[in-house]
Amino acid sequence: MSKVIGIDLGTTNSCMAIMDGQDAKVIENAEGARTTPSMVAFSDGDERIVGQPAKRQAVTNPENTLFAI
Amino acid sequence: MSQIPENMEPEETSADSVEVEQLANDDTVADAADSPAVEDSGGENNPDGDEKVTFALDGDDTSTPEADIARLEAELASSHDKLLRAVAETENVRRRAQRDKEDTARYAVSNFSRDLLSVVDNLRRALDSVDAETRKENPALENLMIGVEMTERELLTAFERNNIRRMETIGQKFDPNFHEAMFEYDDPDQPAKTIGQEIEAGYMLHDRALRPAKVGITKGGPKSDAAGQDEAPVAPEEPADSSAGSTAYDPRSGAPGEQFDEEL
Repeated sequence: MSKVIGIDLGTTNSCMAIMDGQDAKVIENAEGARTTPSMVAFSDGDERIVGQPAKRQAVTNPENTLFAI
Repeated sequence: MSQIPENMEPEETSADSVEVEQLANDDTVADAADSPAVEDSGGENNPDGDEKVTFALDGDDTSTPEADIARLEAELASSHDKLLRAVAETENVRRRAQRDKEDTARYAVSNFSRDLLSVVDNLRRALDSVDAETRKENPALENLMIGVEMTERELLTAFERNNIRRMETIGQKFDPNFHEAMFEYDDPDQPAKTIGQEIEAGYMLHDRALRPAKVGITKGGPKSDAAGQDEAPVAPEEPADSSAGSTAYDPRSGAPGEQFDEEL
C-alpha cells in the first residue's frame, strides 16, 4: 500500500498532508511551519532556495526570485 | 469443430454460463468451473497436458492437484508480499510517531518563546533610551536602569537554559535560512552579501531559527566563496539526535549548526 501525499500548491503558500489512517495530517516543513511560501530563488552559486528562505532573500535577489506563479 | 454457440466469445465473464450451456449441449471436454483463463474454452478438445489453463478430465469440476498447488503458491506469494508491506508500514508509522514525539518535546516552547522575544526587545530598547550621563545625574533613574538591566539579564539566562540563543549576525555571510534581508547598501570594503547592519536580533532554538534576524546586507564588494570559514569560531553542533530521525523532508539537519556563533 503506497503512501499518498496531498500537496496544495497555492499561489502564495503551499501545504502538504498525508493520510494517517483515516485522518489527513498536515506535515510541517524543515523549519517547523505548517505552510510554506510558494517561492523559489536561484542564488549566485547556482544554489536553488525554496520556501521561507527564498522569501527572506527576495530583496537582495529580485531578478532571480520567483513567486505568485 | 463441433458446434460452437453463436454467442460464444472467449471472455471470462460469461464463461460460466457458456460452460453450463456447453455441458448441456455437448459432452466433450468442458472447462473446470474455476479455471482462470478461458480463451480456449468452448467446443475445443484440449489435451489435459496443457499447463497454462486448467482443464478438467471427464468434465467434472474438481481441478487437478497441480493446479491447486500453483494457485495456492501464487496466493501464498501474494499474501507474503502483503505481509511484508504491512510490517514495513507499521515500522514507518512507529518511527514517524517517535520522531514527532521528540520534535514536539524539543520545540514545544517555540510558540511561547517567540512571543516573549518582543519582551526582550523592549527591555533592550528601554535601556538604550537613556544615555549614560543622564543616568549618572539621577540616582533614582540609575537604580531603575540597574533593575531593568538585571531583568534583561535574567530573562536571557532563562532563554539560555532552554537553548534559545541570540544570533551573531554582524560580519557573517548572509544566510536566508537564518537572516531576513531588509535592504542592500553599497560597501565595497566587505565581501558581497555580508551582514552589515542588524535591524532586529534573531534567535535560535536548538538548531532551528526561532525568529530570523532582520539585517541589512552589503553589495558592491568582492564575492567570497568561503562561507564563514574565516569568521569567529562556530558553535558546537547540537548532538545528532535530530538527524537520527530525519527523513526525506529534513535534509539540512546538520548544516544550520555551523552558521551561527554562540556567545558564551
